Amino acid sequence: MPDPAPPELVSRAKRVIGMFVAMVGSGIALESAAVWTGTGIMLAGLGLMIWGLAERAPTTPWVVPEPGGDVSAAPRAPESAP
Amino acid sequence: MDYYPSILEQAFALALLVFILGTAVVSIRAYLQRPHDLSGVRGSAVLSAGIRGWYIENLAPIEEFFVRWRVAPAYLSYAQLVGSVLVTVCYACGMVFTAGWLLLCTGTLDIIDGRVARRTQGGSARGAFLDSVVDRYADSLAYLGLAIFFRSSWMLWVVLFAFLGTLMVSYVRARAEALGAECKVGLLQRPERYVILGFGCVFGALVEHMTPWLHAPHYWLVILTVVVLAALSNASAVQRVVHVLGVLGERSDA
Repeated sequence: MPDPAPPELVSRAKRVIGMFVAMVGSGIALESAAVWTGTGIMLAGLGLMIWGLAERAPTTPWVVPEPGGDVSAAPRAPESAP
Repeated sequence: MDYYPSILEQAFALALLVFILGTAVVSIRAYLQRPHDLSGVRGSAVLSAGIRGWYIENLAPIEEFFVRWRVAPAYLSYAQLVGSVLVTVCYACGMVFTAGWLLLCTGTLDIIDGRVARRTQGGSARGAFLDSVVDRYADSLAYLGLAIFFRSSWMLWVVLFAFLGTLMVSYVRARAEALGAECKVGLLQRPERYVILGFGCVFGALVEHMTPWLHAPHYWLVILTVVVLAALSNASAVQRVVHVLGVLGERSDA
């Protein structure tokens, strides 16, 4: 069993995989007769993407300052964040 | 009578277009705000080093998972092959948007398997051979699907011409390297082809669904994409032939 991946890596993977799945699902919904199957796949992908986005907010600053740069300009995670 | 998309379908296609473009803009802006070392990333006229760096960064978590779970790169190549068969099926069924998106997925798997191979096994000759063979099948399957899609139109000839150019781009490099000449030039290499054809199909299908009132040939943006691809891939093949002839000529003169 490999070491557990860092949470940031997991949330980024959820976003990327969610985007790909959502697009394939929306294509099926748009172009085939299986509208509800496609919609279901699309919603599952969007759900995964939103889950990844929701995990990102408290743990990752939006801007990573350059080494030696003005660190006070970078938004910080809330104090209560793990 | 031609198929005419409903208002709901047109609105859904518009929402998809906005979602794709919006996600790309937000992601690229966030990427550009961070400092990056792009010294190891090779750019081209079509795909700059910045765009390649952005895409590779987005793929990094998936690549990391494959490395951590010790997934053999060969399995990723097989997945790419299965994805390519699905691309053909989607084109044959007229599902151009889905085919374009799956094409981008298979192209992504091609990038990931090489990177995983370099990180886990150091890139074996067996893996490199398998990767090349799967790449040729993947290319051929995509064009087979397009040929089926355009089977009753003059576009069939353009698709075959694009297929010829794509095969020659790969063949010229393989033959040149077998003769000991390096051949990495070319306007349109594999990632560029995937991006142009994939996004051309994705946006072409969305525009087709959004603008049924437009008096233009069906899937005109896809047609334009394949015409550009045919021209540029054959130009790349000729560019490589000229380059290799120059290199081999210099060697025989020396």
